[in-house]
Amino acid sequence: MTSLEQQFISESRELLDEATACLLALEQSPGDTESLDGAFRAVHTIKGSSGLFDVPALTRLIHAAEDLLDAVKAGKARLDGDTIDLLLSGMDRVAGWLDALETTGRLPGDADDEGGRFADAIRAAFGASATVPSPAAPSPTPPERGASPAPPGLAADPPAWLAAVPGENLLSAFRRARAGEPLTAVTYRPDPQCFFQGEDPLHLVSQIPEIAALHVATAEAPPPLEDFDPFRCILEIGVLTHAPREAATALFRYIPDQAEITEAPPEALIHPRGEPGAALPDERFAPRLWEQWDGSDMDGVRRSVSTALSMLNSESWTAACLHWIEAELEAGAPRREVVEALLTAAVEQRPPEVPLPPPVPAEPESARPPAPVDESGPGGTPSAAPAGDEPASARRSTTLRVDQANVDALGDLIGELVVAKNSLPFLARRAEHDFGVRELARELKDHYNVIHRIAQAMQGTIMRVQMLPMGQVFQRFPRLVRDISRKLEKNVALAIEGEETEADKNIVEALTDPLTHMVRNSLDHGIEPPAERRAAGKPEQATVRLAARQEGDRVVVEISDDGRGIDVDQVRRSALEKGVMEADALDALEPQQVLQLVFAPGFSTAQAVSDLSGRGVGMDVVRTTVERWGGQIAVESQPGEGTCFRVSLPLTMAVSHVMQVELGDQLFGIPMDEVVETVKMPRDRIVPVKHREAIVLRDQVVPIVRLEQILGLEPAASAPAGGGNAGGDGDGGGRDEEAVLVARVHGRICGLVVDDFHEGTEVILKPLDGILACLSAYSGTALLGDGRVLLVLNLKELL
Amino acid sequence: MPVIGKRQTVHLEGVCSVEEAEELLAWLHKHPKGRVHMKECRHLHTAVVQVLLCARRPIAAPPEAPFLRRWVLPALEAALHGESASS
Repeated sequence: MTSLEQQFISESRELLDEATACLLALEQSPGDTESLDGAFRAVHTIKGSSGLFDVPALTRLIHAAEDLLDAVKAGKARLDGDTIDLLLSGMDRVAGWLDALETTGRLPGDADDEGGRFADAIRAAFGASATVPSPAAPSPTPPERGASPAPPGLAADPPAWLAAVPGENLLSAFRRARAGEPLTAVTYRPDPQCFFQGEDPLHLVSQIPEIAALHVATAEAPPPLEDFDPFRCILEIGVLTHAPREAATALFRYIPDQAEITEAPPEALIHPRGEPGAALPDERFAPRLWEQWDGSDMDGVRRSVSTALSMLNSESWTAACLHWIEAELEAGAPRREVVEALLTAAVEQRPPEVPLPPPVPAEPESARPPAPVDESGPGGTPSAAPAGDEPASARRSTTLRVDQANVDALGDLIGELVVAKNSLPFLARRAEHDFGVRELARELKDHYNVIHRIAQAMQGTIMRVQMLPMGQVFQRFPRLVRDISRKLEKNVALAIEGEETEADKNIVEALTDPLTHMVRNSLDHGIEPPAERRAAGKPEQATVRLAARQEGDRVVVEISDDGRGIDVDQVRRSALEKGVMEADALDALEPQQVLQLVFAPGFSTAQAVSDLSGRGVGMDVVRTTVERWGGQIAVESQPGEGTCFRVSLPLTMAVSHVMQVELGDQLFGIPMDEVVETVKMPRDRIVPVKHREAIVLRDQVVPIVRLEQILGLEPAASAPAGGGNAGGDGDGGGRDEEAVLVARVHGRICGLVVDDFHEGTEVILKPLDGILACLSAYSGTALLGDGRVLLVLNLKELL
Repeated sequence: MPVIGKRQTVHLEGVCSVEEAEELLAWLHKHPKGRVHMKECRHLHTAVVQVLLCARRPIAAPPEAPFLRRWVLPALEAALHGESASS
């Protein structure tokens, strides 16, 4: 895949999103010309760039969409819900093709058929509505062509500037065109303000291949130098080229309204030029020539012409005409009418002045095969582009497109640097204790501080690079809400707040599925049908709100609706039925605590499994996903007033803070945000409760577990008291107290008995992979400064 | 600095960008008989060409860059001669 293709794909994806957003806005307010222009521009740009690649199906579909939008702009068609549905599904199809193009390098095999079907459907839709205002137009396609004309008259008339092009250029272009090469005329009138947009019209022109003639002149009379504004472009540029029309069209695709590009008939070039006066050498020249012609003696004709030319003043009008005749005779099949017209012009000497003697082209034009005027040529060409089409240079920005893999690799490297830097304090300690060089140790520590500072700055920067605005996730919801509410026949408005809030790319992307699920839930179960809302005295249009904001080092996303709310009693009953909780435990819960049960595995309050949300994916999956990314989720609800889900996630995953604990001779990490406190508890304060143990901490009973038991570790030799509560007198020495780490897991407090505490540290957490990936007791591993591997515990799974 | 004025000749060198148009115009305005030397010029921005087209000054040395020599120079010369012929 070339980088150009890559760019096309990513750019088109953005443009598709833009078009979708504009279409949705358009549905809300049909008169919104800005959105209409936006959608048209996006589609138009995709079409333009798609022409560079071999994706005819995509171009065809997009072209149909463009024509439809163009007709809407011109007031010839209307957009209703069904048409927008059609356009949106067309956009989806194009997005799918882009994916295929990215992975396989080509469109799927059925793309041509499908593209054709879509294009026909779109054209039919707009043909149908186009015929409403103009009943005289029976077929759907002609009005579209009429809507995007290359002004027909102009293509037929040869551009006026041809008369100013040097004769020898025209002659040689004529020869090549008559030999079968394409001939394209470009009349380019740059926008007067184009210099300010960074354009250089002549540079653009210089990229046209096979230039046969170039005409550059001021389109208006040049002002005197003192009034001259050098930054206003007043030029008219004419180019004749032997490149096919499509090649020129591609170059001017961003400014189609400033350039007229037509296939020029070779006869349009015939502009003889010369001094009047010189007559043909002898009066019988013409009759003799026709005799030879009628006798098919073409060599004789040619000879006659060149003999006459040798006798003529080469600057004369007559000679000029004969030169053109000579050129026509060189062609494979010289045409009598062309020669006749030129001969008449030579004999009659009619145009007494040098400029513009056009006696010829009119006649032979009619004799030509009807190829010249190609109004609806291949691709239709972007002649219908709006004047506001943005020039290529306007898109230049200070942002950089970078492959995410590179950024990730950079992030990993910086992570490793952070870890590597942590080995310096170890080194300093060794220098001091093992080798006794305090001086060196101090210098090492100084250097460590410098590297530490730089590494921190790098970490901060790469973190910002990896941040994405929440808008990336939110932007899919207008479409989702629209589609679902249409399907459910509910009237729902979506309000989005804080889309500029940024968070780690991985987090933002991980949020997509849970958010989708919760929004679906809200629409399906939360929002009442319009009739029910009316009966409850609420506005018929319901609102679903998506709001993101930053709170400290976490990002909080709220999904709320003003629907019927969650029925607490129903949740209680359901929980009981499904055995989520015992009856007496349920009774003890506050209503808001009962609500949290919707996240319990296997819980669903929906009476009927619906098409939309009841897909066997419950809120417990949402919670698991959120928690896997270190997040929390909670729900609040007021019956009759609505429901609000609140998701809180860390801003970044790059660096985790863990507390190190010692157990056996091994170090383990515990995520810092789960640690509540660490206490040293005298062993006699541990009280057995049935077969479990607990401690009393500030008048609160905290159950404790012995981590080594859960992990199945052998009681370490240095800590023989490990096992039961037999009491560790003897060789435990000073160990008459236990190290208890108090953690909060699933909202509950729990004490973990470990051998010792170590300092907290920053680590780059790598998830377990390969055959270790199934060990859910560990959330990952991290490399310590001294090269040891730290296993980080996943307490939510362990307890 | 691609626009260098020397007595009665202005030298255009290298790549002349849009900014140079104003400078060139000022120089030509100050030197009504000034000529244009563009042998070392590789690219002329359209704005510069436009100034030259309107100022109609003799060309002291033609450019060597192919596109300029083949296509832009004839246009400049046509403007120069066309004007002197008709006036």
